[in-house]
Amino acid sequence: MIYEVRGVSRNLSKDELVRTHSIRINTSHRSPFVNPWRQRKRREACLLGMLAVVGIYAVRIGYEPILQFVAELGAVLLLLSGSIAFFWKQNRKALADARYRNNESPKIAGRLGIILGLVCIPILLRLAVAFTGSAAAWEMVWLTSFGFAAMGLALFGWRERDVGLSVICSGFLVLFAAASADEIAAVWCAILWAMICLWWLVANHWERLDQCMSHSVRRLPMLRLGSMLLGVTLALLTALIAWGQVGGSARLSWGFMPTSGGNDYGDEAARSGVGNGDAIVAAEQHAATFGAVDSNVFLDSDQPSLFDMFDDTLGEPFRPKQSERAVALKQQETSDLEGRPGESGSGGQSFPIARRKAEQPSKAKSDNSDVVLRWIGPTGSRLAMERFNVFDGVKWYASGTVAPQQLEHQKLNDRDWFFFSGSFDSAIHRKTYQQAVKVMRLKSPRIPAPSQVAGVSIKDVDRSDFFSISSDGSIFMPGRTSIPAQTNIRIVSWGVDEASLFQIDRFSYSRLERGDIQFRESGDAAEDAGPSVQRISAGVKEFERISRELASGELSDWKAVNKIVAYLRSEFEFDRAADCGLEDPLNEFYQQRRGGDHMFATAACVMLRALGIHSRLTTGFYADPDNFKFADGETSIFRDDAHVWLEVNVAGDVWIPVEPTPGYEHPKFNSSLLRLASQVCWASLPYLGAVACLLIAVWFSRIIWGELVCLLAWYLAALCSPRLRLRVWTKSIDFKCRLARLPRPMGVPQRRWIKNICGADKDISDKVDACFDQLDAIVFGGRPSNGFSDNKIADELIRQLNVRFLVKCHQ
Amino acid sequence: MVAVDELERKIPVIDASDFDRLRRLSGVLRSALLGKADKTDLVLTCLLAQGHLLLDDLPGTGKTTLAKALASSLGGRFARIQCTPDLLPTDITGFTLYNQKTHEFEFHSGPVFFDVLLADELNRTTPRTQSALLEAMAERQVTIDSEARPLADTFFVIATQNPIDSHGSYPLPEAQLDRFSIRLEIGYPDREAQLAMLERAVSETEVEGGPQLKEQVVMPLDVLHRLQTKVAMTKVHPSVREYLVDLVEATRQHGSVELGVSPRGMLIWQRMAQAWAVLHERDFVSPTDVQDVGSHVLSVRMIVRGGRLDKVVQEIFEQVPVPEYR
Repeated sequence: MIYEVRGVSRNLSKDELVRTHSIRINTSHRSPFVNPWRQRKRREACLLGMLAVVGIYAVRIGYEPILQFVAELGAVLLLLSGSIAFFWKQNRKALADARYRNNESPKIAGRLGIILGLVCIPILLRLAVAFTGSAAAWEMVWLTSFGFAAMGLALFGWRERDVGLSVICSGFLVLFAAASADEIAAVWCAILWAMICLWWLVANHWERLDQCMSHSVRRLPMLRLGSMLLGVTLALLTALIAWGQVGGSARLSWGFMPTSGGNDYGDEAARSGVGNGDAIVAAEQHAATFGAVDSNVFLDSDQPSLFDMFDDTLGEPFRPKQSERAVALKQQETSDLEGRPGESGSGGQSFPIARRKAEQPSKAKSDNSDVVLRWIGPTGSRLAMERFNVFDGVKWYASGTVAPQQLEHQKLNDRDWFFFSGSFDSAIHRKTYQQAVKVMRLKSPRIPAPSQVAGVSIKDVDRSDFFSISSDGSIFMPGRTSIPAQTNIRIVSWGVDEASLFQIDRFSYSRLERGDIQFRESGDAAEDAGPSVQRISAGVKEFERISRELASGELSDWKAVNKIVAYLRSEFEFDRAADCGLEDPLNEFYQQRRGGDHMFATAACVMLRALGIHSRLTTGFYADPDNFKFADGETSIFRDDAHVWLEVNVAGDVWIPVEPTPGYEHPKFNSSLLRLASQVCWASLPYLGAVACLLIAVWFSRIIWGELVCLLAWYLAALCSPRLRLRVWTKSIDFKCRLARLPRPMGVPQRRWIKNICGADKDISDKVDACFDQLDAIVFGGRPSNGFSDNKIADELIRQLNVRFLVKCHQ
Repeated sequence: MVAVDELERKIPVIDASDFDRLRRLSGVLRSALLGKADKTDLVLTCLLAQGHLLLDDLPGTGKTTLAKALASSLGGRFARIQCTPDLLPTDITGFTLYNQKTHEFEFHSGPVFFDVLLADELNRTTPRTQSALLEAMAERQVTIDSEARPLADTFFVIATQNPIDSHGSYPLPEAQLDRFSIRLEIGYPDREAQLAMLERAVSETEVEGGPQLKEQVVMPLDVLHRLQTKVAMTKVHPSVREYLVDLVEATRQHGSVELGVSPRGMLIWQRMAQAWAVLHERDFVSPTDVQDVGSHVLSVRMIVRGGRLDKVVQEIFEQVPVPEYR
């Protein structure tokens, strides 16, 4: 190593030095020249390797016996000091005995042996520890071996590139450690490593320049330090910008390490990777914690829950003038919602929009305890549970508007189906779709179903009195408090043809009184706390005004609906945590411009009703596309997927869902292809524009890119066969001619073409001749092609013959 | 393997001095024909390719000077025939005469047995005489009185035609034109060359005959023969061969070509390209060589309808892709 190069170089001729130590010697300076930076390169690479090992120790430190570390380090130090001593001795011997220096092979074998020894130490120690009964984390052992290998390569590698390989290895390790260690030391290790590596690269660059062009380079020692400092500053700036943008907790949440149990995309029983597994382990270890594990055991009972699902997600309703004696719950019990069954009250209740600010419990989505429903059907569907059609300014009430219907029993394919025909309109409904919902933990007799439901089926339930239609149009199972868990309900629902909605100018309300729309008068229909005082809130007025402004033109009803939805989606922000107050929530919502989905739905209802379009508030679930599992083909619906939207009455008993809340997908309708295409076009217009701008920019800067690609290809081809490099060269020259708008006619040989363009330049002309003479000799004369790879003239030509030069020559 | 070894053995050993002589010969020709380096190179190529040369030119442009310079540099014998309508085939080939002293028939060899033959105004003589010469060129032997007599190995014919004043001339038929390797037009020298000529003529004693060339053998005939063999052995890469075939087929398929290149023409083309490569001191043929000699090889053996021949040749070269470097 270091000493050897110094010592031997006195005796060796230059050629031998080049051969044995692969030192580049500038041929223009004939004095024997030993690279003084060589020591630095190895020293720094070794330091980087040590940092990598420290980083890996930071990952291991909390989990493995300290004795093992001591033994490991001791063994490594012993091996290193022994081998360094051996090499030192050997070097002295080499100086004394001139014959020895020609014999290279024992040195390489020795170096290889030491590197292998370094690799084996952690593995052997781990095996020893495993015999004592301690558990072994093998991936950590391999990584440590890898780190020692990096150190060994830096110290004992016999080729120039071994040092580079060592730096790459240590870089991987340091990054791995920074990403996975709990200890902050690992991160500091990585930062230090990056700085040293930056210095290493800068110094290498200058070293090469020093060697190649010692006369033509002005030496500015500050430049090296300056570029290093600039790099560090840039890195710090980037870190500052990225600070807080990238969540630390999100790292490794996919759980790719084998012992972390995989991820929940592949396996539902997995612990969702590294980060979330900790919470569960903690819950297991500490009995006092209210974790996922005991909740599964204790909370899955038939006892009525204290909490309403909608209260959890949207905030508890404000109940004035009601004071019951109650005992406050402990913080732990109220804050964690893990595993509580979803409950939604039966129909006929009220839905206040005045709610306290919803608390957002932080919880780990660790297992299936939260799943309320499973939905097999299109993602982004809304499964309705309850509808409210009367609004008094603060509260929604349900007043029965749907006449009791008898469900029609049909047997299809050995299944009993129960259809109802009331909500069917041949103009709007064209196709049927079969879907399914699986009830997991839902405390309600109502069947969650899309708005356009036409029929339901539960296996082996063949009596029609098991199903009924509630007064607000939902299907429920009478005489039950809840649908049993794990029940599979098949649903047939209609697809809505959106084009037909556009064709209807004004929606008709065949079964509704106009009075129903005038919501303020219909307050006495509510059953509890009847709003004797009519609440003509400022918020309602405000929304009515906007609605009339928006629909001031002669819009058809469905266009008006779309316009209002677009208005709410663009002007307001969805935020369930927003506090809309208790007095006049709509007004507060209007002022704050933010609120929960119930506020959006209510505002949309108010606005639509102001235009004479009848609508009703609908609560239920949203099948979030994020929760779709490819493996099962179904969407899990969690407690926090509880959602409020609205339905618009378009004809008869046909209610079409409308989604005014941003962040939720629009209901899917069957559209004509043309319509879909135009929608997609408009939606993607900004992107198309951006892509077009990018393409235009690329087109105008194509010469730069073309040159860059040519140069890159030329350098990359140095790694390939000389024959390929030759082809890359000729193709690049042709390509540059094309870029310069001087494409070579296919019948003209390349040499002739280039000389034709820039034959006036004697220097270039000579170079072209020299280059093509060699090319001809290789390609047509069968000479070996190795010569072309290090053809300096070809290298110069490919730089000199740039597009600008070609154009200039041509002119 | 055996065939390859045999081939290797056959390739004559060309040393640097041979190329040196070639360069010197080129120099001699250049100084003989001032300002026409490209033409003299082609003449030399034709010589190396064992072909024959047809010069289409006006009187006084240096045809004889060129031929004489060549013959004297080669150390060979030079003959010149002025072709007239009354020239007989025996005037070219030679004849047997009864010697009354010895009572034997004696053969009196004609000019075809010389090394360099200049046939001036070939189109003035009768087709009978023309064909006698052309046969001798093609066969490299002459049969007189049922006895075949071989010509010199390095036999080289420079025939000239006068493009103007075609009254009473017998234009050469295409089949016979095909026996010439290339057709050249020397043309008038440029201004500088003419000035140099005048300057040189001042010191010369002979006014009409151009410069007095030193009677010095630059390239002996055996060296020429060696070089000619070397030319025949010059390597032609398969892709170049394919390119040549593509070009030849293109001449046959081109819309305004009446007569394309014959297989004999193709062989001559390849040999010319080989000679061109050797002249440039290479031992392989590149596509550029094929193109360099192409227009001259084609101009002697293609009949073009309407338009100019050089334009058609240009078109053909443009539409046939050259072999890529791969």
